[in-house]
Amino acid sequence: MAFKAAPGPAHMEDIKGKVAIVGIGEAELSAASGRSLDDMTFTAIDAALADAGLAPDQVDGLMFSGQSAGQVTVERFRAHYGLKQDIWGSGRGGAFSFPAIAAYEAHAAIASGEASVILNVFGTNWASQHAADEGGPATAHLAEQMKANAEVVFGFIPQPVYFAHVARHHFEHYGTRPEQLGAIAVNLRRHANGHPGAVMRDKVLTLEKYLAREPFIDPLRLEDCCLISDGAGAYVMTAADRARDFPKRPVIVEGVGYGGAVEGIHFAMEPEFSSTPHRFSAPGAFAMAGLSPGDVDVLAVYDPFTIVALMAIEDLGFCPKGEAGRFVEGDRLAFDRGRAKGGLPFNTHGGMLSHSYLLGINHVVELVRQLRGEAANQVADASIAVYGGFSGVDAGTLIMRRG
Amino acid sequence: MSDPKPFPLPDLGNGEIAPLWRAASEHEFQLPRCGNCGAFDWYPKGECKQCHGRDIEWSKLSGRGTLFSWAIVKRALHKPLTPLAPYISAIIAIDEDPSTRFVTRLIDCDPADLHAGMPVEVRFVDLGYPAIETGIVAPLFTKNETNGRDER
Ligand SMILES: [Zn+2]
Repeated sequence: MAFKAAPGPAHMEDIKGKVAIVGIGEAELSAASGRSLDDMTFTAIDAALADAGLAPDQVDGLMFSGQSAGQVTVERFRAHYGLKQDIWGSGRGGAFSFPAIAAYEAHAAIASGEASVILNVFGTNWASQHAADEGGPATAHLAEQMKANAEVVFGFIPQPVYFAHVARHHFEHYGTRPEQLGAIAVNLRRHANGHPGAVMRDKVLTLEKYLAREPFIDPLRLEDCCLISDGAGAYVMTAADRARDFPKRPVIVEGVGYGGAVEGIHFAMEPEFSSTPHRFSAPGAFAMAGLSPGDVDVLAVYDPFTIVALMAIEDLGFCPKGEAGRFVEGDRLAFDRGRAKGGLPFNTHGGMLSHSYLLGINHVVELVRQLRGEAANQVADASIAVYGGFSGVDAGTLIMRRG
Repeated sequence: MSDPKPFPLPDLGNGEIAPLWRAASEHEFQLPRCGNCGAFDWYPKGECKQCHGRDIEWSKLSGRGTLFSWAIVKRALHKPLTPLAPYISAIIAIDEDPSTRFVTRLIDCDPADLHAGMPVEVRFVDLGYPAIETGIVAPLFTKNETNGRDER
């Protein structure tokens, strides 16, 4: 039931229509704030439970990121709310690819009777850590001994350096250009400008401004790289046949998929260097849902860099491989263009590039708002939404339907 | 401001990558290779991905390859690397097996002059060349002007 990042696509049992998302919540998203991880995470949990009309003692399952430091685990959850009941727990939740596939393990727990109301939660204080010059996104890469001795010493660290190589490769092989990466940054900034929760809501970005700034890790510019944020998010899952018992319009999970990179964290050796494992995770998810990319009204993908967003669009099947550069030009990704006019509403909250770096859980929160019809940048009549989760070594695909 | 962090240095004594650095100190470019079928075991797993043999030995290579991808790091984000910038981070496809890629830096190259498939060759110089001296000899790469075959 638990997935490790083995190369290629993972086999998954059909869970179409079995799981619903019935509550969402966030803590305020910000730059370095000094807020504690616990405070932010419990704020998000409180908001998700209120949204679902639940009290803490009605929760009997908790999914969190076992690979990330300081997360709210089952023990801390029980202690915080003074709970007596048994709580099923899984460390294969939280963020990265896991918001895409959490419903799969949640369904297994529901089907076996181990849990019935399951929270998926994630919080990060990387902005505060970064300001204090400790921790942060490169920590795991620096700690790996082969990378320390064969990459870091040559200056191949941190992630912006990796993805500058990936972008260069995409440029050289497919003719992708800087202004095409810029189109992603500009559209996502516009979404953030219209979103009350976005960290970059007050900062305008035009393509002229984007291009006027010199690359700092050439070919990447500052606006090609995601924010580093403090914040937290949470959502509540339950059996789809119980979803009507909750106050908000439910969102139904129609398909999930998962796949691993061929060479794991040794990115330099990845055979398809400027591709993502979305190419492994997406086909299974669309097959489970009985849908194709053409059916999707709104897409949100884990976007640490514009080049990753661009590759995700191709690897998820929204355009042929190598053509996403031309595909994303102009306003195609804008929330208000829509599929009928040839658009693809994309990261309508602004993504990690302009909303916040919450590692994907708030992408799912945003898509639930879209399917409920309560998003800030509402896509007209959105009924099918897809989240593409990513971690560098793996990817997950989540397909959701308005319930 | 805090004190400058020490430049990261490889471990020449222990670990899977130490033989690379011991060979470099002798001005040899070596990677681990299967004694049975000749496939490269990079990054080292101790088992051949072709024949699953475990007879892996570090072997001397030509030190020639082609430029696979690169990035011009004008500002190092990892603080211990600050004195190195600007530099050209590079991934090299080695001539003996282009699917085997080696992370290094390009030195003495004009960034405007680079393209995928450009022939390159190893140069054994100080790991911090040209900005700083570390006392460690490293396999850095530069454009091969003489006998390379341009793949473009
Ligand atoms: Zn072999």
